Amino acid sequence: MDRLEFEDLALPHLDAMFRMAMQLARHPDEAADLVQETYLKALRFAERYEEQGGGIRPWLFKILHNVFYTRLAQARRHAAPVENLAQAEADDPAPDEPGPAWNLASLDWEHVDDRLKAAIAELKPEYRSVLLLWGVEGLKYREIATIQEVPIGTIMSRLHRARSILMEQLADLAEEKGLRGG
Amino acid sequence: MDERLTIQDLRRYLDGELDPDAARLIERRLDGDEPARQFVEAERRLRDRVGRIMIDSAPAAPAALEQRIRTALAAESRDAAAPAAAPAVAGRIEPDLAAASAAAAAARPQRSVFEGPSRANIYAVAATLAIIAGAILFGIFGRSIDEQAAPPAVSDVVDSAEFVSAEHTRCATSDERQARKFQMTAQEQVAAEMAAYLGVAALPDIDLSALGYAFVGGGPCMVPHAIRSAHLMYRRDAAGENGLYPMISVFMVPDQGQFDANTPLSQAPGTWQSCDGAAMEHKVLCASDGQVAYFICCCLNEDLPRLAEALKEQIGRR
Repeated sequence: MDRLEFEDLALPHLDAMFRMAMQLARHPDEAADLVQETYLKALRFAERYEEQGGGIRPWLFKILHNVFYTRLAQARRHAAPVENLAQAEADDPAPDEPGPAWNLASLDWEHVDDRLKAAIAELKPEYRSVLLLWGVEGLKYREIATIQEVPIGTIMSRLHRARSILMEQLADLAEEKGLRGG
Repeated sequence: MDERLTIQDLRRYLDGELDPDAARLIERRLDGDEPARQFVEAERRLRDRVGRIMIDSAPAAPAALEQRIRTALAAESRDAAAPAAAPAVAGRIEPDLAAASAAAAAARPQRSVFEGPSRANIYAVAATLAIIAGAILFGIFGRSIDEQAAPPAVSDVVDSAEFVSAEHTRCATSDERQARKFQMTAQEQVAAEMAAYLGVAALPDIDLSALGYAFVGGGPCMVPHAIRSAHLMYRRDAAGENGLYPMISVFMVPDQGQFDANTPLSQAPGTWQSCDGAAMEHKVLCASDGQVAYFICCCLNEDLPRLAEALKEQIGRR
């Protein structure tokens, strides 16, 4: 694949790449640098790309994650702690609990964004990344696992944990507004 | 599947991760389980809101990013296509070629740089005149002059500056690229090695510690319109507000008369000129002392004037 072919194939996904980079880096300049390095790396390894359904986007996401975490390690920032899956399991509701119930009809979903936005911003980068790949890109667990280069069980755990955190925020909001059901 | 509905079951169902039989089982259970049904509905709405929030947080890449990437990709392709002139041995330049170049360079007159009005470089003028005469002769006899070193246009200096800006960015953002490229990391070694490689009598020992920058490494490079060139990089001691360490690049290109009289380098030799290109992320200054053309570039544009002043002094001491 020559450079022009690569550009035709990869550059249409620039917005999606930048969106992901922003979730990881949280700063537009750093996100732009991440995206540029991703495209350069992708061009270098373009001959290794094989279409496997889903287009080139998941492959680019994978490179982006790799670049981000490599930079993170090289910058000698505090590494993301290894997930304490046992703790995450312990925090989940007991299996026979259907989860919190509230009066959905009264919860104004159009005005929960501020609370959710703040909660998402507090999440670790790998959780934000999982949410984006799941909620925006609509990828399956296995596809997300390939991108983040972790076992599928880890993805399920991260997604479960992130969703639980966000749902807790909504439950708090409902309770504040006196909407919690019995 | 377990008789009890768990949150994980419901989420996997919602995410389409269950096989058809398991999904149908969940659906039958949901018909008679109002709290579970409400939970699934809440999760569905949550997914929609999360998706909307994340799209709204960064709806599109900055307008200039695509062009910046295209420029970087083009430079990367050009870089990858012209590796032949790079030295084969890490940290050493081919001695035979270096010795021959050094001998040829020693025969050229040395002049002090940035000393006010410049003296004419007799050899450069003669070479240019010879090239022009040859071009005329070949033109008369209908021969192509493509193989001759035709006087480059001003755009060639800008072309070189655009490469410099892009290469600076590539190296500043990739430790891997730095490690691959800068095989000379001892500052005292670099000046002598690069001088031999470039075929010049001597290069300044550039020390930017007074500016708060430490030497990272140096190595050969492929600036356009030059057979060979050198790239030195320096990293600031203190991190910026974003936690990253700004860097400085100094590119050195033998000035063998390839920059014609209408280019910034030739119009005012010894004076830093700004090279403005449409696709340059970083500002680039360039100057020539008649032997070596210097292109300099910084992550922080505000450091550029101090760098230019420091180099003027250090190159003048050579």
